[in-house]
Parts: sequence; C-alpha cells; structure tokens
Amino acid sequence: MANANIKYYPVGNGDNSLITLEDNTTILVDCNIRNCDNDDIYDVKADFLKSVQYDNGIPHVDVFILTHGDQDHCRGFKKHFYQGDPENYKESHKKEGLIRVDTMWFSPMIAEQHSNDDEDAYQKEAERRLALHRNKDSRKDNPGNRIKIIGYDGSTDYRDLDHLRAKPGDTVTRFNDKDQLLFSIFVHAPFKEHLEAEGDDKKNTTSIVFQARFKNYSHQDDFSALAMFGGDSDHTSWCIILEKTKKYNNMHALPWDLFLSPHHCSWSFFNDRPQEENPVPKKTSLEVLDYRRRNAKVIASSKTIVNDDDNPPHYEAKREYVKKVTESNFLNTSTHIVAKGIPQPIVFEVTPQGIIKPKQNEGSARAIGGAALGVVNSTSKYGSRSI
Amino acid sequence: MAAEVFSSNLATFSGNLENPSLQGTLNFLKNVLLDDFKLLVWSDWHVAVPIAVDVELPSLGNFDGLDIRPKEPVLLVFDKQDYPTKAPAVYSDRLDFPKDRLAHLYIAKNGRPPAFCYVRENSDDWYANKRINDLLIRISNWLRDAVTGNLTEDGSQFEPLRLEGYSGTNTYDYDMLSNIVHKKASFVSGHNWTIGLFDQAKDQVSGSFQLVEIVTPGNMDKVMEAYRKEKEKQKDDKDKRFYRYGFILWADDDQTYEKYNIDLPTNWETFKKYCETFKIPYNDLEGIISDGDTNHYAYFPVILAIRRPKNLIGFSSNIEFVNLKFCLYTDDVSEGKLINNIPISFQAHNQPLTPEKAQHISGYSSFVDGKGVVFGCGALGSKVTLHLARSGQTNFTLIDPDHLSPHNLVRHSSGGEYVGSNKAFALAEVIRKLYPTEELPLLSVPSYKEGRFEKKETFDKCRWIFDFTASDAFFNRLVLAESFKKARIFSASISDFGNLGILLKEGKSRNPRIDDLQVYLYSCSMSDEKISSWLKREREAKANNNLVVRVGVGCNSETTILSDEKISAHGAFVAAVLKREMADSIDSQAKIKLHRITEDSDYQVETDSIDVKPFDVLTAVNDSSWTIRFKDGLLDKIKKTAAKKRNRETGGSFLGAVNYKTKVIHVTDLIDAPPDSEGNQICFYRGHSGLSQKISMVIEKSGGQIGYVGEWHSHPQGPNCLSDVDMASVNRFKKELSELVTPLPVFLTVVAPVGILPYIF
Repeated sequence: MANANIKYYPVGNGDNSLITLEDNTTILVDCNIRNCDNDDIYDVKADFLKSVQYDNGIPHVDVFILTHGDQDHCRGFKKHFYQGDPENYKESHKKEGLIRVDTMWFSPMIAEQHSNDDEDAYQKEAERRLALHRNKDSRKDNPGNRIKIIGYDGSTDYRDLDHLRAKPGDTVTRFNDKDQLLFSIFVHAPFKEHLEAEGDDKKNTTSIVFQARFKNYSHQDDFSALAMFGGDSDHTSWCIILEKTKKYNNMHALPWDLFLSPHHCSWSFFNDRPQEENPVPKKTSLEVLDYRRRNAKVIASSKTIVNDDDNPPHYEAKREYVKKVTESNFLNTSTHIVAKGIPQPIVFEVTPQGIIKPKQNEGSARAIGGAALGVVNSTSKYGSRSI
Repeated sequence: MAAEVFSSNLATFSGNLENPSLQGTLNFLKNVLLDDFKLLVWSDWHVAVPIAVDVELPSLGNFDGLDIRPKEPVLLVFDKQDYPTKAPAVYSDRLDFPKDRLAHLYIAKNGRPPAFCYVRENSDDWYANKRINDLLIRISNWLRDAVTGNLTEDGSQFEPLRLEGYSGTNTYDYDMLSNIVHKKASFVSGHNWTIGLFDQAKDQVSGSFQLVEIVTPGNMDKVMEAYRKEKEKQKDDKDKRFYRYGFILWADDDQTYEKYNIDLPTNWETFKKYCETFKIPYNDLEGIISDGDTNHYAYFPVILAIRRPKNLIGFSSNIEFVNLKFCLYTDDVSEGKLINNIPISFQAHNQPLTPEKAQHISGYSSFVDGKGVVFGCGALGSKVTLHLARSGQTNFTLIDPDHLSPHNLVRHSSGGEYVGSNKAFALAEVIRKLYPTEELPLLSVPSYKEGRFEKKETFDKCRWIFDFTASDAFFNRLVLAESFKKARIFSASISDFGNLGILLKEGKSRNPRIDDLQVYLYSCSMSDEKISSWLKREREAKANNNLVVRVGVGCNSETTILSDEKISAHGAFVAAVLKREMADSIDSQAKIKLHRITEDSDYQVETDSIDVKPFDVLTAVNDSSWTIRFKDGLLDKIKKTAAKKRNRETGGSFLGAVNYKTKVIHVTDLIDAPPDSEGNQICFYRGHSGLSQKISMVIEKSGGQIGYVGEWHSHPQGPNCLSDVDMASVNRFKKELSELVTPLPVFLTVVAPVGILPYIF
C-alpha cells in the first residue's frame, strides 16, 4: 500500500486539497475547479479522475468537506459532482465524468443565505440526503446518500440527526462508513459563537477548521503528519480555537506540519483588515504558528504573492509566515512547482519520518508517442521551400 | 561543510573513449554538470564521473538520524568497453557515508566506498530499458527511501548484508546453524565453535560448498571415516566427493550489533580484527587449522555468526552468518600458528531448497497436504510429477515397473546417470536431489506386491491417485478397483500422434468414473468437430496398422516419434490443472481437460474444459455382473418419452459403447423410434427407417468409438419384466450379435411401472 498523501492543487485564490489515505480512501477539502479550457490552468478535474477510486466505473470521492460556501471553495461543484439519487447515476454521467460524493460533510451554519450556484447546489444535495436520514429511508446509508453534520445548527433544527453530527472538540475516525486506524480528523470549528457573528465576513469566520492526523503504524506514539485546514477562518476564530483547545486540554490538536494559510494568505488570519490600520499580528495567531513541528510548511493556496494592493494574498501575511517557517518552507501553489508555465499541485507523502515530497518518476529507454501529442494533432509542413 | 570525497584521490582520465554510447552519456552529463564535469580513472577498464544527487529529506528528521544530505555526492562508474550492456555502478563519493548502517549497499572492496544496490533484479537488465537520467532518479529515490526508513522492506526485521563479488556460495540450512549458535552447542563444551563436514561443488571451479553434516563427538568417527574414504578415492572417480572440514564461530556473549561493517576480512590479519569487532574468539580456530593435517584441500569454509538486534528478513532468527573461504597451504603454518597472512574471500549463503520454499516460490497458493500415488513414471508421469515436486508437493508413492532405457532420455525427466534404473526410483532420486537436506515422504517401488493393489488399507491414507501409465490394461484395472473409494482419481494420457493431452478427473465417490469420462469424451464427437477429427484420425491409424500413438496410449516405445517439448507442454498443462484440482476448495465436479497442439501452418496450443455430471448407474436385472452407466439425463428422457405415450408402448435405441473387460455398457445418447415404428397397448414395433443411417453417422463421427449398443421399450401397464415377445426378440438378436467379430451383448431395457429394468444377454 502506498503512503497517504496530501495534494494542494494550484487553483489561484481558492482552496482545493485532496487527502488520499493508504487504502486509497479520498477526502476532498473544498474545490475550485475553474474553466479547464484555458491552457494556463492546471486541469484539476482530469487529475481528480485519475486520483479517485471507481465503483462499477463510477468515479467517487469518499468524503467531501466543504469548509464554507464561498465561490472559491466550491466552484465547479454543480458541474463536476453528481447530485441526486445515486441509483439514477447513468452511463451518460460516467461519460461526463461526474464524481459521486459518497459522504458529504455539511455545516448547517455555513449555508444560511444564498451566495452562489455551487453553494446552493451543495446545500440542496445536503438537504436531499438529510431528508432521507430524517425519513429513515432504507437507502440513506448507501454511498452517495451519506452525510455528516459538522458543528451546530443554524435556522434549521437537525437535533433528531445528532447521531450524524461531529462538533468542535470531536475526533472523527470513521470516514465513508469505514473506520480508519491511521487517520483521524480533529474538528476545531465552527463554534457556537460564530452564530452570533455579524457582517460580510460571516461565512469566513464560520469555516470548518480541522486538524488532519496521519500515522503510518497504529502502534506509533506520535503522528507522522499533522495538516491544518481552516478555509477562510480569521484571527478571531483562531483565538477561540486556541482558547477552547487549551481549556478542554486538547493540546494535541494544535501542532502542525502543514498549515494551509487561511483565506489564501490573507491578513485576516493575523488581524483585522486593512493591514495598514492593524499592522500588528494578534498574539494568538502567532501562537498558533508556534505549534509548528520541525520543518513545518505553510501552504499559500493563492495567486502569486506580490507586494501590491491586490489582497489577498497579502504580502505582509507571507512575511509573518516566513518569519516563523523560513522562506524555503513557505510554499505558494502558484509558484512552487511550475511545469511549462502551468503551476502544478504540491504533494506531500506521509512517512514515519514526517512529510516528504513524493519520489521522482523514473523514465524509460523505450518510448512511444501518444495520440494526444501536439505534433499528432497539428498540421506538419515540409518542403525545401516555403509554401 | 563539504563532505570529504573519495574521488579527490582519483586521477583525471585523459585517454580516448571509443565507445559511442559511453560518449553520448558523458556528453549528457557534461551538459548537466557544465564546469563541474570531471572524468576520472576508476580502473583500467572503468571511468568515473562524480555528481551530486538531490535528495528529498523528511520533515521530522532522517530515519535513525542517518547522515544523508540534501545533496549527496556519488560516483557513476562506467565500463569503458561494455557500457551500456553493463550498467553503471554507483558508489557513494563520501568517505564518511553512513555505510555501516544501511542495507542495500554492496560489500566494499579494495578500500573503495560502498556501491548502491539500487535494483533488486539484475542491474544490467534494468539499465537495458533506462537512461542515465533514470539511474540518477533511482539513486535519489534510494537515498529518499533510506532517510524515510523505507529501504528495508519490513522495518521490524533486519536486512542482511548485500554481497557482490563473492567467491562461490555456501549452502546450509540457516535454522540448523542458528540453533547451534543460539544453544552455543560447541564441539568442545564451553567453547564457541563447531565443525561441519562440507562438500565442494562438483564443478571444482566455483569454489562453492555445501554442508553435509555437523560434526559432533557422537558422529565424529563416522564422519572421519567418510572423509577418509572420499580422500582416498582416485581424483577421476566419478563418485568422489571433495570433503573438507569447515568451522562455525560465534561470540561468547549475547551482544547484538546493528552496524553492517561492510568491510569484510580479506586476509588472516583483517579476519582477526573483524572477529575482535564482534568479540568472536578465534584462537581455537587458529590452533586447529595450524595443525597442518586438518584439511586435505587448501580451501575450506569458516562461518562467523553475528547477532543482530532484529530477526533477519527472510530468516527465523537474528543471527547473521558471514561466510568466508580460507585458503591455507601446509607452508602457511608452523608449530601450531599461522605464519603467513593467508588470503580470505567471502561467499554468499544459499539456503537449501525445502518443499515449503519451493511452494512459496512457485506461488502454489492452493497447496493441499496429502499423499498421492503415481502410477506410471514415464515421460508424461515424470514431467507432471516433477512439476508438482518442484512446487513443493513431494508426498508421493511412485510406481513404475519399467527401467529407463537410453532412448527414454529424449523425453524423460531423469538424466543419463539413471539408465538401467527403475523409472520410479530414478524419478524419486531426481526429486530427492532437489531437497537434499529434507527427509521427504517419498517412496518408489516397481509395483505393489501381490494382492496389495486390491486392499483398501493400501490406499486408506491416499488422497489422490494419478494414472500416467498410458496403459489400457491399467486403465481397466483402475476402473474396477474398489480399493480407493476415498481418493480422487486423475488419469492423464497423450493421444492424436502426441498432439492431444487428455486429463480425466473423476467425480465425487468415483462418479463419473474415468471410463465414463472417456466414453463421454468420445460422445462429444457428435457436436465437436475437433474431437471428431481426432477420433477419425485414430481410426485411420489403426486401420493402417500404425500403432505409434493410439487413443490413451503414450510413448514408451523406441519407435514413437514425439518430441520432448510436446510432452513437456502437455505435462505442464496437466500439472497446472492438477495443482488447482487437487485442492478441496475447488468444486468436486468431474472434468475432462484437453490440451491440443496444432502445427499445420504454425505451432499453436489451445485448451478445452468439459464438465461432466455423474452417470446414472444400473445393474442388469438378469446378470448382476453387468453394469449399465447412463449419461446424465438419458433415463429421465426415456421415462418422459414413455409417459407421453400413456398406455401405448414405445421405445428407441441406445448409443454408447460396451466394454467386456469391465463388463460395463455406457449409454451416451438415444435414437428415437424410427418413423415407421408402431406401438399400441401391448406391443411396440421398432421400425428401421433411417436408423441405420443415423447409427452410421454416429460411428463415422466418433471414429468407431460410439455406436449402437441396445434398445429400450416401455411396458406402460406391465409386466415388470421381459415378456415372451421380448424374449423372442432377444433370441433373434443374440443369434446375430454373438456371431460378430466382436460379439455384442443383447441389451434390452424395459421401462416398466416399477422402474427401468435393464437386461443383458
């Protein structure tokens, strides 16, 4: 079995991460699948179809965790993921490459008001599944109908479905109806306090925040890798996380090897925006970063970070991160690996010695050209003189 | 801090390189390294290029704190003449490379740094499909594996030393030697060494040894006598064995050593230091070998036991053996001391083959323990049995009355040394030699003693019977035998001029039996053109009195024209099928397996599998010595046909074959009553319109194997026996059928109210 790995896709300002476990279980955290016809954009969808497992020819992710409903965290959900009764998944859907989401993770708090079609589609699909569970439909536990409620309820009351719920402070070890021995998720947020939050950034502050924990052997004392995901959570969220985690003696849930910088390397993780008016990072935010382990890395899933007014990504935020982890451990998805002008995913493999970049692929002395080659699909001109 | 590199001591190469492939690779490296490119002299035949390989390091620190760095200097060493057929060797260029703590490094030689063991298979074969860039990636990934602790296949076990450039092998059972070390079972009580009698490989060139037995005070006299006898034999005596004494040494204490120490001793002085590293006393050894008369031959093995912290991968304990070969002449010793720094080389260990290991290597996952009796150890039998034996199935009783003739060597599994020997004995010897250290449950006899074949207890513990005799007589004997009710019977033979391999697998409780299966196969000629063609060829061959290959007859004659590879192809097929079918987990369905070779325009192989259901078996009402065996479904069919006619009598004819030897009539098909037949409540007139043509066609298609065998008619209202009218017909039939060249019994069946009543006259 291959080691587990975490893949951060280059999707500009947006989040799109795929966790693949040793048993090939896949957990997708947010998606931002942009128009792939553009040659400068990495084809996330094509890579999904190569990375996920197939069930009778149906591509499926085991779990989809939507941290919150902003467009840059769920773009492409409606178009690329199958919605509706999984029994109605047809051959035509296979041809379209529609990916079945076996289990949705859904935070009732993040879907209180309409903001974009993809979020609406996610919420509608979640409600379809919740209704099956509420009505005790015999098909409710089939893949494609499974759902996990994360955090607390908003305007709709799901108390009767509490058995499907994980709250902040809970550790989840069962994913898509399968217990995992080497992987777990500690849920940090959203908190109840978020419900009272006000303003435009309400969605951001109510992001699901979690620590993904990896082991290579079940008898391991410590974790092989700890990856923090926080959507667009801001400094107030992290302040509460720190406080509550300490209060409930869950200090083990704070260390990290990989920290996906919230809100695409936004200053909002460090303090209120604009940065110019609040230039000093909050102590609590810096303390969160101090829980990094050896050679830990910060991932900025954002556009190329330049020192300008187009924020996020915020140059000053990067500077704060770099102060903690050094320049070489601050990785921007737009610039870290670029092949032929196209940013490539950043992948880390989990080993008992921590995270490491994957092995390089060996080539071969034998080769054939594929049908998709440009030279095959373009006209070739020959002749001793120009035509 | 820059690492100290070995290559700084190598001279720059200034000669000409005429190997164009090597030039191409070096040009590639020049483009990569630019000004850093250096071409150095490694040896007369090799050049070296130093290069730094990028290594990914894990976030939480290197496994075991290994000092491996993000840029590791290595040396690519190219064979000037044979590159790229000979893959480049890759050495660490660091003098302080943590070589003692890593598996997958070759033993360092001549003061050089260690080479990476970068592929499990042959590196030349691997490199045949790779480029130099792939090799650099492979080395980078090797180092990545080292720092993540993935270099060993199993972290809970210890990877043994990698050896390259070893001087022969030493074959002994690891468990036996490690037990001696664990128990500290010294030859002299309280010491830490023992002696083994070793034989040298027959080629006398490889310098390989094989342990014959451990010497103990108890067997010392016997061993010394054997040693003396072999020593006295003439050098050109074919049976001479080159015995010598070897020594196994271990440390007094139980200290374990994690470090590899890949600088193995090359002479007596380095040997002593090496022993001191692992606290292994060597004074006793020096005393014994300096006696001057211990060994007749100069070369002998010395095995050092080192305790590792974990069990060795692939072995049952933590003892790693370092196998050395000493070269000592009389003038190297004086007064009980070694006076010369004698040369020592190292050897690889070989584990003697065991059936369990053979089973594992063969991937024989369906292996089932049990005894098999093999009748017939000729060409096919020896090949099939040897395939099974090589897969670890050695629990056989081999039976063959025949002796191996020189012409048998063309197709038999045994070698020329067995000419004149009994075939079963020869095959057993070949199997025993595969597992020389094992006590195999293997027997061989020319035949069973009088009466034993028929005794049930003879086969009581037997799970399988294999018939490879190619003998019709034995086939009939097997059909009638009642002594192996519990065993599953397989019969394999070759037919169609050697082009058709046939394997019959009996059903549960011997139904269908091998004779049922044989007749069933012939009956398939009605619908299977290939079977029909084969049977027609067989009939033609018989008609031409050409008995080279007959149905079910093999190839034990000198005049048989049949190549070894054809027998081998059939044998491999039969063995592969047997391995599956011998397992109980496979359903007990009876089967016919065919392996057909055609070589009309091209050599081709095809296979076929036919499932056969149990036959319905009835005994003749009037003569219990006769049995009638109906293909599945036929009895139902005639019952239904009779029932359809209600009160009117009806009937039809039986197709099949009669065997006087086994007194069995096989019914394989029915022919409905011809259209000119008539039936009423008391009588049935079986007409004949078209009947003869139908029977002719059946005989034609089956090459004369299937034909008319009898008739049936119904007595809807009784009597439950043959009537007077029936008997009149019987008598008329008998008159004709008994006068045939091969008489045919009169077989008449009545479908009566009490059931089906067969009569045979």
